[in-house]
Amino acid sequence: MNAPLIWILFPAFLAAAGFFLRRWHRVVTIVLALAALLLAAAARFAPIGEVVIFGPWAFTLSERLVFAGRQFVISAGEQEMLTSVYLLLGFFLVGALPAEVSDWFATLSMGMTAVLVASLAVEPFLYAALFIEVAVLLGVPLLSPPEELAGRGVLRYLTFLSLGMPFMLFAGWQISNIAANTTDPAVLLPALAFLGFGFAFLLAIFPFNSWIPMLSEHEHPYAAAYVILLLPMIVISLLLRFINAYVWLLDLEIVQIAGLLMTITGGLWATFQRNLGRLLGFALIIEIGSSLLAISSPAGIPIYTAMLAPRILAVGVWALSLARLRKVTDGNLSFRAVKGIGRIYPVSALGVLVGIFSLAGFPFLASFPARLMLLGQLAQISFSTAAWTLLGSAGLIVGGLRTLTVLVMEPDDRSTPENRGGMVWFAQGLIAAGVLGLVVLGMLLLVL
Amino acid sequence: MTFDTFTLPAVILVAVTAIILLSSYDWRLSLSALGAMYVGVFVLVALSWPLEMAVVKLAAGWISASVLGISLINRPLAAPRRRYIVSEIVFRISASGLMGLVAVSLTPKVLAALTNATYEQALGGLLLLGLGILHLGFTADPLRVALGLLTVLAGFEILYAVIESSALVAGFLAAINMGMALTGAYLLLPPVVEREE
Repeated sequence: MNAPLIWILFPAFLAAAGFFLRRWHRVVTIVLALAALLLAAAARFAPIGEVVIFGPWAFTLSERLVFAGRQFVISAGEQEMLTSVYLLLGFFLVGALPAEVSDWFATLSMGMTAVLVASLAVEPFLYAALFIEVAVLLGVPLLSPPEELAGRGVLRYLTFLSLGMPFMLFAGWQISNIAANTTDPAVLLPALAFLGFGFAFLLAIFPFNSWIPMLSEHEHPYAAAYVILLLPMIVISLLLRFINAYVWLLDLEIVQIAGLLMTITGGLWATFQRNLGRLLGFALIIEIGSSLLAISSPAGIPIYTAMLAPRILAVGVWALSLARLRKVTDGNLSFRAVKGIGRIYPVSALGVLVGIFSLAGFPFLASFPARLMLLGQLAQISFSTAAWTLLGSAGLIVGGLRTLTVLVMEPDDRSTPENRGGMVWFAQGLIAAGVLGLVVLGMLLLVL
Repeated sequence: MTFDTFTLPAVILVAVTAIILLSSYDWRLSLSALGAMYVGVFVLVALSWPLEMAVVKLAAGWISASVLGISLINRPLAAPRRRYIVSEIVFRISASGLMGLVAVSLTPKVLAALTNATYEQALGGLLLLGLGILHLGFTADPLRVALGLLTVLAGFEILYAVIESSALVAGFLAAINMGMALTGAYLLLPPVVEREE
């Protein structure tokens, strides 16, 4: 038994099986959600590289799998990331049925996750770019299911992320030719340029981030939120691996500058948004920026890790609420379409608002402690960096306040009846539990 | 078997076909040009790779073109034919010319970095990369995006073949090529409602 078999091949097999059984998509979604949560729990507690005693059996959970002459390695150091990735998948699959996302979501999201975990595990590194490209291709039907016409956001997503692969492959080749102690800028610069462009495309760093708000505006917000959360999480793990191998990358401050640029531009655009889907997109851009800022300092990795769970919860609640609102507004999430909708659908509106304010780092909500730690860490390096980061969050708060105003206005038409099916109650229950979770987590983290 | 004699014709072929891809509205002509482009790509890749591996590029490229073609043939409603606008074609060809100049000027630098590459490989790869990116910048149509990405990938593969000759990478890139075409074909299909039984 080995770790890649459990966290790569098993979910890939489940995804493939689920795809062929998608006629029973509700059962498939529930089974895959349970499987993802089990995989997350196993990733948290399984002793990788140690002997496992299971009743009368004893076996070593090896960290290595050799496939087609290449190695896939999942070591104990990656368990935390694996837990987060499968927790994200499980969390989104639990909400997939009430979000009424496409029937393909469950199987494709699990397949995409398995391929992305493979990209983290594969050695040598250059194969990671190829696996990421496969995951990007799987993401297209996930974002644009067969029953919908492909929007421009999907095309741009495909274009920008596919352009990242050549840069990463060339960077991998160039870096493998550079000796570890090289400091000659003439040797380093081409490799850094390729690496920079590769990560800029894959992490949707400004100005290659236009696909994010386009996706969250035009495609199903739940599917879009999942893809936009998952991809950067994996790519940042790859970036961290690079940073660990070439610590001098941090001296160049390029990661910090990229993070700051994303936080500021995301916050600025979030201030003026008039569409709830686009606002989610810009909030996710700010989150990618914050992640980059967190990992740009050597002591920032624990902060980055602390940001993940509150982020997943907040984005999940926000996206599920948007999915419910989108259902009653015929897919239109503009301010005009959702005016006063908070009076008719208070739970969904509350989910949107708490999601926004939690991501912005509002006090007593789940992301606040991690945001506070991030700002403290940044202030130690440079006060102006911390101030600009705060400004990015402030932009999202302004966007949230504008949303609040629009949602509680007197609606133009109060006659829209609410669909009271079982899924609606399930969705409302999940949103309410998520909102409660964001508040309780915020309080608990502050106390701890 | 060596392809040294065919390298210059191959560069001309990839350049002409990429320009046709950029300026044609007729999908039949575009897909024919895509198929012909892969012949040029095959010749340029065969300078660095064994023949049997280079053939994989040709086969993958032709399969990609076929996948897109089958998808377009099976569309229930034919897309309305666009009229050719002379000024637009002149603009696109001029832009291709400028991109050609950029490729020619960058070729010596690429040759300095990729010491095993021939001049034709570097020029052919850069031309396809540049024209593919130009193509992507001009369009928001699923077929055009797929063609643009396949062009960029073909250019990249010519250059990457010089530095990487692993069979697994070649297989992976061929699979990605075909996956890209399948994705393009998927995006070209009209919305379908799957019925629950």
